Amino acid sequence: MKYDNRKYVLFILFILVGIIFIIRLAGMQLFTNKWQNRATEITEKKIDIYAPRGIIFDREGRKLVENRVYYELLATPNEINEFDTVHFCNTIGITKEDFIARIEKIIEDYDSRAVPGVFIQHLSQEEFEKIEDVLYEFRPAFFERARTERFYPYPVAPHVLGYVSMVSKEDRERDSYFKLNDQTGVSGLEKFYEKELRGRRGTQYLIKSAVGNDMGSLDGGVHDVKAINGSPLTSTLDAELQLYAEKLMENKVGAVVVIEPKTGEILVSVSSPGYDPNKMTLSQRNKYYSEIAEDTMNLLFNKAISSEYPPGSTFKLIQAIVGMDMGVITPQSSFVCDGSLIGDHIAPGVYQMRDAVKSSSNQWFLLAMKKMVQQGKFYSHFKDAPFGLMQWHKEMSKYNFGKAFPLDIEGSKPGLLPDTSLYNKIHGKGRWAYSTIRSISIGQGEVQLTPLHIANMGCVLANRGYYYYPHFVKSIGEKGPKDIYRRKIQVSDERTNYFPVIDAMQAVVDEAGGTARLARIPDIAVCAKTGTVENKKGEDHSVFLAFAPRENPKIVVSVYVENAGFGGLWAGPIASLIMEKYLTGKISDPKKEKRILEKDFIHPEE
Amino acid sequence: MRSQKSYFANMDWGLFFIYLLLTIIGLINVNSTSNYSGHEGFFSLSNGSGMQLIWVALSFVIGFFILLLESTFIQKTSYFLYGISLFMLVAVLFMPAINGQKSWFGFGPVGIQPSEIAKTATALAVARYLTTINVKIDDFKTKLGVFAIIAIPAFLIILQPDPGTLLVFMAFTFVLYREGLSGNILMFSLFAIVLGVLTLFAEHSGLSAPILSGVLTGYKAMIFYLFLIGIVAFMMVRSFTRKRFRKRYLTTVVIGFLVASVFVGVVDFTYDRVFKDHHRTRIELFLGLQEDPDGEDYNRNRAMAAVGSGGFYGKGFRAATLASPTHGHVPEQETDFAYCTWSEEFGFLGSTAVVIIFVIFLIRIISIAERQRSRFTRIYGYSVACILFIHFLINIGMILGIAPVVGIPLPFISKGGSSFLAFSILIFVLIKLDSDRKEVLR
Repeated sequence: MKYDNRKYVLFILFILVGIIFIIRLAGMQLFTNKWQNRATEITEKKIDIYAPRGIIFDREGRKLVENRVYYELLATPNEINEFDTVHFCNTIGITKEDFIARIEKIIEDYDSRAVPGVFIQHLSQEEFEKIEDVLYEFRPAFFERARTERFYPYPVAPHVLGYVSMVSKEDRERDSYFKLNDQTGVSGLEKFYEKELRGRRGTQYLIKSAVGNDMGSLDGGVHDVKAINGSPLTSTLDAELQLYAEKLMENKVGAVVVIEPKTGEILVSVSSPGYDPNKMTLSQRNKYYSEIAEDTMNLLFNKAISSEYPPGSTFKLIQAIVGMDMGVITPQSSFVCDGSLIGDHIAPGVYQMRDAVKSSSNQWFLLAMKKMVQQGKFYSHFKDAPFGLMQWHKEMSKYNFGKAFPLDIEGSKPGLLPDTSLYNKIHGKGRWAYSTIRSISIGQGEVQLTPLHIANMGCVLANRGYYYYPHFVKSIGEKGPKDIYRRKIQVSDERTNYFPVIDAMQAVVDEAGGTARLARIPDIAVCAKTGTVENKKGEDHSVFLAFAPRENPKIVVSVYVENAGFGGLWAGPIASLIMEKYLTGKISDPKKEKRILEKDFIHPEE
Repeated sequence: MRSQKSYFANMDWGLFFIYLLLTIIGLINVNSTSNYSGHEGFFSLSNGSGMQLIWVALSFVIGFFILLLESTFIQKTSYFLYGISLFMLVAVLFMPAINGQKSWFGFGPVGIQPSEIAKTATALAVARYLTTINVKIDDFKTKLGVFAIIAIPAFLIILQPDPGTLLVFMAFTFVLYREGLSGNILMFSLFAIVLGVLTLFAEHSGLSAPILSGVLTGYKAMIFYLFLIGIVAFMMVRSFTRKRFRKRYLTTVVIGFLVASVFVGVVDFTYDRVFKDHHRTRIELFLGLQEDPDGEDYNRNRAMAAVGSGGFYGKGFRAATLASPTHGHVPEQETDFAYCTWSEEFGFLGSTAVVIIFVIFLIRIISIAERQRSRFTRIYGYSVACILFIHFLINIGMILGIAPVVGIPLPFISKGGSSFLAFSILIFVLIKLDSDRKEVLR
């Protein structure tokens, strides 16, 4: 037939189309990942699984910091309709302007209208329950996400534990781990041990439907990454003792530091007045932050490690030992103490070291330090003093005075241990002698220490010549403390030089004429030293350093109460109550306790 | 009298088996695309895959009855069937619109699309008309007649409107080509398509002529280039042809240039002034002149992602994550986009298999048509092949992103009872006519 061959045109056309399709199929299915990736984009949803932060225990295994649930309210901008807006604002109680601002923030944060973002960041369990009943009206545009925040069963040690915040833009730039809406510790242990506490965020891969519903996990969950819980920390703190110390310090301004001398573990660290850490949790902070941050008493400031005070007479203890170490005095060195050079409480007479410590003679130590500083190496006092002071400074530095501690929270201040160059700066080179600087001999003048320094000084005394760097964490997960805290730091090899001072410290408490008679504890040999720091601005500061028992000491307490007057009167009893509580578990003299608890230095009496 | 056996004696079992194979693939796929809850039986009435099975059974029964008919009876009732289908096409315009189309007669859960029936009826009518004594394709009158037979249902379908089915009626061009229509029409169509597409590209790429670049842009630049080509052709004719043909050739070049220029202008005008925004968007997306994977290009993009993510072996039966009824990423995934699900679940292997089966099917139909002594059967056979081919071309082409998105089902695979029945009738009629090929000379 005429057009028979035209069938081949059709055959070729069919086969050609078939071949084109197969080539196209091969191109799409075999030779490119483009569509595979596109499918992933379309169907898969990656969800962050937040790891709960590590729990912080006290030394006895009691929970100091744990987690509790709070809620975030999320919104997906492109699912919100006009009706929602008005009704929603009324229900939640926010203005329309605020509503729009929040939604715009979400769009800006994710550069998308389709990605849900956090609309209200923190709702406590109770707050969420209030809106939960009406929330269904606004789903799925609005929905909640459970998060965890900190909770403090013992509402203590806020300055040590620190608090947690949502990450800032700077945090995210600094640490690539962080993503929007992560939490991070911003102070205290929370900050220092952030990497350990935060654990590891997990990822869950879900299949999502076209309308965004979850259709189960991708490939049975084989791609999912489990969240790793934050490592628990065991703190060196003793929650009960901390609680007790805070109670004693109520209505007093100052700080308490308690250390176990054998290990450098800090049992108690109080900065008073403080605040309730439960008020600084993510869901509560909005309500309380300004109240806490704007308080004139500077509640967020950690006096225990950051306040630099003159140590007062407690400094005499180390003066005595350094003097012996330098070989310029002995326990038997006798000085005339008649109050002629400096005001002195001791009855006029000639005294040796023991009595000088016991009764806190000022003149004795003034003369003792003169021997350290003015060694007579140079004819001129103006040359002799700078030389002697440098030697003294070298010895004193061994006690970490003038240096910050490598503490595991931020804020450890160095204090001030004056040296030759400092006085050269103040008075001019060659223009000062011992007589110019002598007030440092009794822990006044330029010398400044933090309560932590004073406590650490107590540790060296209790240990007769060594200490461990004070620290707040005993173990991180399964591991022990950081290496730096396991190193014994030898201050002095002249162990025997400590004995007469310690002997005198016991006399301070136990013997008639001692300045710390109020610090006695039945059946326990307490060694202590009072301090009363002259304060130009007001009442003297009351300072106290003690350790007990004398042999094999278990506890060192340093107490600093501002504007409380004589050291033995307020700081002493506080320290003794803490020691007694720790060593015996009870208080033998409730009257002493009552007197302390009722004393209010902050609110002046009517 | 013929024995009962002879009803099936000359039946083309090969064709029937390919049909059966596609039916089975279709049923498997319908089951996957209808699996809403995942807990239902393989075929359950509640999820729609059972309904499809009922339609398949019904199609077989009707098919069986078709085999019992006399071929001459089919031939004689061609015009009658054609008339009925026209009547239905008119009547359906008075039905309520579904998705903006008045194309369905609904009887409770069962629906019938008259345009499906019109395909078969038109094929029969064209065959009948062209085999009428004294009708020759070369006559202008005949051409007009055939054009009318095809154009009337096509026009009624435009009114629904159903652009997909309209395209199917283009299939008859190939049938007429086989019957003697000049191949130039196909060539012209091809040129027109190429020129049209080039014009759109020119408009978008900011094509401009080397001189007067500020003035001659877009389609004007196209005409400029056509003019250059014309000049070159003119020179070539002058130099390389014999003098006595020269005048004819030169006339062709000039007319060609004028027609092409007018065509380019018309395309540009139509595109800018006649087409609506959504038409333009669709065309631009298809030509890759625009990208909007989550908006206007949603369907095509999702479909291609579904196919592309199938890989070599596919994700497994009922394991599609995109073209899945519960996930719903691919719209119309049970009907027009059913091939997506198949492709995603059975990968390159399964997808290619379906393409090869279709090609074999089409070639088989043409072969059957060619072995007829009856022109009626041959024309009908060609019509069947070409109708199926257009469906195959547009549907899979659309899913693979190489044809524009047009709503048109993939025969036997897409879910849809009346569509399956219509395609089955198309095939059974062919099988019947073919089985009588030795009987008489019609």
